[in-house]
Amino acid sequence: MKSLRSRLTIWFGLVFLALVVTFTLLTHHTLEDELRNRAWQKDYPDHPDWKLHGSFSESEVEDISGELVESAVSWSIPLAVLALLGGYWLAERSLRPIASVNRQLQTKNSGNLGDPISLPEMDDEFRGLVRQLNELLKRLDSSFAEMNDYAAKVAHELRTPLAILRLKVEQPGGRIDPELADELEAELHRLTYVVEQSLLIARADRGRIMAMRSVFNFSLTLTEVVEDFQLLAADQGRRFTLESTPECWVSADPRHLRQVAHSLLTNALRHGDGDLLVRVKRRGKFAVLLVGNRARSTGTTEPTLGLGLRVVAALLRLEPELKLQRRHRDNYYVTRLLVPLLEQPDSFHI
Amino acid sequence: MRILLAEDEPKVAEHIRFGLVAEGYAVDLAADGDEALWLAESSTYDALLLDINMPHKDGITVVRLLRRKNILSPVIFLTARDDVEDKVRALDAGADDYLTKPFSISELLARLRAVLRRQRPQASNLIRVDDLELDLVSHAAQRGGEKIELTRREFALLEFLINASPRSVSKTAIVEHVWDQHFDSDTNVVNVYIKLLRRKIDRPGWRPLIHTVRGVGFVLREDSP
Repeated sequence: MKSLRSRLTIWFGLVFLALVVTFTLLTHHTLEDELRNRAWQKDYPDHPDWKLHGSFSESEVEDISGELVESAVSWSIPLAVLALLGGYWLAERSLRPIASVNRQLQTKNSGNLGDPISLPEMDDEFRGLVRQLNELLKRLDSSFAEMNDYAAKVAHELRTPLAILRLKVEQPGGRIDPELADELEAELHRLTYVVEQSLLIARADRGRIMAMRSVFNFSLTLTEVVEDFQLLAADQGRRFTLESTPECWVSADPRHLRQVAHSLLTNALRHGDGDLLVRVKRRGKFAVLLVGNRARSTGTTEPTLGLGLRVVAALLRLEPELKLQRRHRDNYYVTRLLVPLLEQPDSFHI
Repeated sequence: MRILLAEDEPKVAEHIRFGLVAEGYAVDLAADGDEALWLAESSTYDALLLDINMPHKDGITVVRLLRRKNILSPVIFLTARDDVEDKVRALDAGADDYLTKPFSISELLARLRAVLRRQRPQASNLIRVDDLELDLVSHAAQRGGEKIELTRREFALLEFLINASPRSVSKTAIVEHVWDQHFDSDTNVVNVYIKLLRRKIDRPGWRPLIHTVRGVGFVLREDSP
């Protein structure tokens, strides 16, 4: 049994029952001793000289102690149930602070690491634990901020040399071999993109990007986004299937959803193989964007930064009600983005 | 053409963005003054549309800071204020035009075309290279009198190439002016679009206008480089 609550319940129940059994045995033993070994004496107030002495017969002793055992056995089941219920209630009450700490820890992300965990009525045993946890979170927050600042500063510092290099490569005059210039330009472009995306992640993680919510048709937004990807897929000889429910009204930041869709599609195009499936449909309370593609089966797998997914994660942290699910089965990758659906869009139509 | 739109009211921002995208502009959105400043410093924009009242930094401060850093992209202010003093303050800060809310999207587009036109040597909405002609108002393209059907993106790419002509432009520059910030330009997208454009502009029997310049990028001109 893995749950501490269940174990505490059972331990409490067993301890309680053991106490009851011990008490019953002691009572039984004492009663038998009294009944068997001690004579009783009865006085008569009207005749002070009269005294009646007597003792219990063996059958009477057995009868009385048998009744005691019988009574103990018949009460044992309800007592056991009561003991278990009491144990459960006590375990539940004792573990409530742990459950509260657990809930608060689950909501922690890079944006709220510094917010301390709080327990309104703390016992001494938990006060120490919570203090240690808060100090740990504080240290994590400051090292995360330091790391983030450092990454942002490095990315920022890289901008100037990249701009100089780009100017030199694009300089007319043909001093650089054209083939090399082509390669340099492509690499510089890639580096610039990495720098800009790193800065975007740093800004999002530091809460310097605001979510600008509005109501819009997610299907329409996606149709706009996929246009270029359809062409790129066709250029690679891959079939691109778009299945879209015409009306999927959602409330979110359309900039973030466009960026997320771009990143997911770029990943599918760059790291995937074969046909691409993109689907937007309504499922329960959500509009679901599904991107499915087969993993590249030939060639070596280049180690990547995972920049696209990092951008997605950073943006999704700004809008916690959006959920991303990734599955991988039989060499087929499926990524789902769940956006809460609006059943009744307001009068705003684009 | 790539436009930065800074507007803190989401519905207004999406309406304007939709109108601009429909006209073939690549649009990046900023929700406040800080983000607008950051985007304008990190990317190249052909024009900036800024709301004056924004969180963190107002539009006028953003323009002042950009001008101080020698970022000279044309700026149009979009604002609910219509006092003469406000207009003077905005234009003195370095803005090129001023549009009072409410405005129609067609007026905004016309003003945008006007400020973009001032950046070009040909002060007209009709731009041409050889017998290829682009009407920036009606979004029509024709070559030798024959109408050419272009998608929004193809039109934007062709407009950029014509404006740059006879200079050659790098793929990086093309991506920066024709696509918005979301696009990961590590893809082959420019080559794919150039291929599509060539099919439409440089048909068999016609003199080729789009040329590949090795080590540089592409150029649109009558003679090959």
